[in-house]
Amino acid sequence: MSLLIKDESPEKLIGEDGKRLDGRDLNELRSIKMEVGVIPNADGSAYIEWGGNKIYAAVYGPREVHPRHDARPDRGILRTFYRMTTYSVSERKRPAPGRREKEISLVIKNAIEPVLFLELYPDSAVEVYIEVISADGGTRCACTTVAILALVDAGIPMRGLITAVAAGKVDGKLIIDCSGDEDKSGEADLPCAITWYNNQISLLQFDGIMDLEEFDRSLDLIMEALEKIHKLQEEALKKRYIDVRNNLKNYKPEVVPTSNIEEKIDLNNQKNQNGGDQTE
Amino acid sequence: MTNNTKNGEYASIGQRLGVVEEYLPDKNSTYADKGVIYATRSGAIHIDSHKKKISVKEPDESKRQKMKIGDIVIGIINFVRKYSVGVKIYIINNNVKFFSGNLGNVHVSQISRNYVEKIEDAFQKTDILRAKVSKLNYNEVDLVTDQPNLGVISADCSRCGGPLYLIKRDLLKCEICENIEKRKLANDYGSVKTRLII
Repeated sequence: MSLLIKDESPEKLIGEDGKRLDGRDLNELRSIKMEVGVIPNADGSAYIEWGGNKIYAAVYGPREVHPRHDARPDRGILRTFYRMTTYSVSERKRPAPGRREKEISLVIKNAIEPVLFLELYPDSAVEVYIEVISADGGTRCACTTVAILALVDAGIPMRGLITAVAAGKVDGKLIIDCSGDEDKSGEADLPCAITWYNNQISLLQFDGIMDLEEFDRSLDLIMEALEKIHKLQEEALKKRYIDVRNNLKNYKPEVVPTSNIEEKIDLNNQKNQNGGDQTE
Repeated sequence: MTNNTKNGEYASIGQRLGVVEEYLPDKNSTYADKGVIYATRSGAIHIDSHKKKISVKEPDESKRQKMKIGDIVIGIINFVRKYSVGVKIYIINNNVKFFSGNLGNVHVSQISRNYVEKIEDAFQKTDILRAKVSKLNYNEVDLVTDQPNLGVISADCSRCGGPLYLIKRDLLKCEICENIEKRKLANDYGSVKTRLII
């Protein structure tokens, strides 16, 4: 038993100077870095580093649905697979998908589905694979934020972006963007996602104790933080667009265009046809 | 209201592009809500001033798995009906797209320029076929093979499964059982030289 690392959380989460354990203010976000188009074999992909979280998302499709009875003749279906790697947390996590992973997959799917134009792809499926390489609190918000970037990169038409962040309550004070320790020993946790095309909430979960006035104030904190993250998302997408366009300028196609192939084949064919006619 | 949309400029997702009185919205890259057009993809704005049509183009659109009219496709014949054959498409313009789920259909009148009496004289099940897209339907495409470079590019004997070699135009002979079969062949049957992108 001595080999096990005990992850004890400290008694006080907010210091005497009013700052949090990692030196942040109460309404300050962790550092966020996003990148789009990181996996070349996927149709679309994205990567996010949000404090201690490191998450990859890859999108495949629209493609064939298996099993076939899951397909819908009037619209495409969205499938989301959230998975934590075995080394992503301090104690080894069992690799099989558990109750928590299935729930988060469903929550992310329900948050994303209303913005997509899936009716353009009947009889097909869009699959989103989200791999958490390193987890440090607030992964469901980070996953929603990165999954929508991968879907944009895959060229799935949508009404607008989605951004998610969590608010919380620690030592009687409201905070934004809970880290792992604050999640575990805090008093309340409130993850929330917004669809930007109509400013509506598409994901809202609540855990803990909070009164109504605190709930309203934490929603204001969330809206303030979401606008900052939304700007980062748009910057990452624009950077990807400029990169691809610059690559295309330098790109010289190796493959013979199909029109040339047709011409070559036509020449052969005339010989063949003439030969055939003579024998007949 | 100021209108900032210009040809070739970057459009982010959900950006306002104009109103329906100005342009016709493109179905795949824009949508109209209460008379206002918004972008549904990120990319460059493309305005067709002749047709008054607005769309958003991604820089790497060729990567996508959708077909358009005039594409050359390669597929395997899945089933033979009375007047048409069903084709499962695996290669679009030399790009290999497994699991794309695209289906095609060749009608008996679109097989050849010559008269084809029975569909069994042109195609059999499990033949590999090169064809051209002629029409886009709801979830299927119509294909034609009435050009010399289009048709069967690989086939097996329907009696014993052995390989078939060319003896005459549109006539094949089995190497093992010497069975003679009729097909609508592409002119490079037996010597296909296509470089595929995987």
